[in-house]
Amino acid sequence: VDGLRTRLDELERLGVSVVLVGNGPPSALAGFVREVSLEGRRVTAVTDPSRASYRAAGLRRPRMHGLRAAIELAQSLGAGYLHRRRAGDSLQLGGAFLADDGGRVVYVHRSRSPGDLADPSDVVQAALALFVERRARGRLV
Amino acid sequence: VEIGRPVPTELRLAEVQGLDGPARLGDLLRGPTLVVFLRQFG
Repeated sequence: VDGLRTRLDELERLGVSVVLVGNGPPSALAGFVREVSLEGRRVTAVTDPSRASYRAAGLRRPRMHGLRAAIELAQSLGAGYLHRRRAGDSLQLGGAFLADDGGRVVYVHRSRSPGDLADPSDVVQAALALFVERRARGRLV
Repeated sequence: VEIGRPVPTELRLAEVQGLDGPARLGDLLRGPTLVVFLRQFG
């Protein structure tokens, strides 16, 4: 979320809403929203402990994280990233998709390892392309 | 979920829990929307 949070202003200016889906218990949701300072943003945070939405999105849940995950963890610690206490399925991998106002998918990323996150620049680029397309169609007011 | 295709019905109908109670994920797709699936909260 940290990488994406720095680009939220751009996404908001491009008219993109953001939905964050976690898989921890609902009791952890309010604390998460406070912790990452999402109040007042164009962001909706929800959770899906059943992970049905993860499966429907085709996101992987390996039996265990391998060497690549260990290297990513060491790299993030070496870069000074402090891992916070987490809530949810530790094996579940994440992902992201961007849908246009007609519900058509224009960007998708599925993580192949815990550190394989959607590149915020790619997301903003896809949102910008969508913005230009919408403006060309005259749908913006 | 495939680029150029509609968001799958199964995904739209998936139930999620928000601060205001349960909702269908599809109901949260209002206008252009980025959906981010987190590994975990944190």
